Parts: sequence; structure tokens; C-alpha cells
Amino acid sequence: MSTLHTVNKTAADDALAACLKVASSGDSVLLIEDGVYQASKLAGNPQTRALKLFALREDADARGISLPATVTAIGYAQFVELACEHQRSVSWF
Amino acid sequence: MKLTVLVYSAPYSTEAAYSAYRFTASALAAGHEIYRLFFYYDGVHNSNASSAPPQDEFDLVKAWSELIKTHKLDAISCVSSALRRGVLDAQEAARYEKEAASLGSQFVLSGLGQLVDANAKSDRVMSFGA
Repeated sequence: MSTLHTVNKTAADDALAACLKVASSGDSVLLIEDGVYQASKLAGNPQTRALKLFALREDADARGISLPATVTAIGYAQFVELACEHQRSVSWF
Repeated sequence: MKLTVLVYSAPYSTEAAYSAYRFTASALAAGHEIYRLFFYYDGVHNSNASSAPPQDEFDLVKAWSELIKTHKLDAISCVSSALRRGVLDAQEAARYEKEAASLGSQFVLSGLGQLVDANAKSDRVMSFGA
């Protein structure tokens, strides 16, 4: 059973760290809102090798964040698709 | 799929309420069913019809109401969260002897049983945290 994790906080919060402690192979992590500030940190983390990484394009664009190659930019239509593809979701906030 | 959207954030406090709105609108556009919108904690401010932002700003409270009306969605504001925050329907305003009711006409005050029911009957529940 795979899980979609959403993270909407900057590194000032421990939401992403808490997420990565429990995310397992086949899960997806989606950065939204201020979570997109952590895109580079997420991409460089060895704990994310078995995970699929995404960020909301409009939230990254609104903040002038360039996404690393391993973090896929998506829109809300794909966000909905991700929610449906995974059996459950956890929102880290 | 049947989706339920759980909203913890008020408009203007964090971006989460607007994210929840965009997610809901996109899910409807993709042909999914929204089983229920549930507004919890500060999220109940999304159902406060007395909100009056400047006319040149996006009005999230109005946008929710129009989305709910257009798609005939079931929109619940948690009654105990709402009473504490002054979001009352006419019946509660009369019961507590308050001067005004502010719950938008597209919303219903109800309890956590509706969230339990939504968890059981929806294929997916997406939470938007403050």
C-alpha cells in the first residue's frame, strides 16, 4: 500500500524530517506551499532514493524556486491524480 | 473516485485553504465526486459569510460558496469549532442569544460523526493543514 505525503512547511519546521522517517519505498512526497523551499534539500537526501518526488509548479514559481531534476513539477490536475494513485495520504504540517 | 477534502486553515492565515480550494476544483474538473468538504478548527472561517475582502482581491469565502452551489457539494463546518469562532447559523445565534448569524447559506454546522462517515465512505481523504 503506497502513500502520498504532502509537506507544506519550510525547513524551520520538522515536517519534512518527520515525513522522511516514515516514508517507504514506492511512496511519493509532494512539496506544496512553503514546502517547495525544501526542494533542493529533498533531492539531495539519500533517504529519498526509493521515493518519487514532486513539487507544485505554481507554488515553486510564485516563490522563484528552481526545482532540481529529481523533483518533478506538477499542477493541480496531477496532484489529484497522485491522490487517486496512492491508497492513502498523509499531510505533514 | 469519491474524495473528501478536510480543511484546517482559515483564509488569510496560511495558504492551505486556497490550496484545498484549488485541489477541490481540479478534482471536480477531472470528473471525480467530492463526497464531502469538512472544515475543522480555523478552517470554519471559510464558511463565514460576513467576510468582506476588498473587491479587487480573490474572495475565497465567496469562491467556496459558488463551488459548493454549482456542484451541489456537501459542505460541513465543525459545529464546536464554529461556535468558538463566532461562525453561527440562525438557530445557534438564537440559542446563544447572539446578535448575528454568519454561517454562509451553502454550509451546514455538524459534528465529527460527519468526518468519521466521510472517512468510511470516501475512497480518499485529502487534508490541508494550517
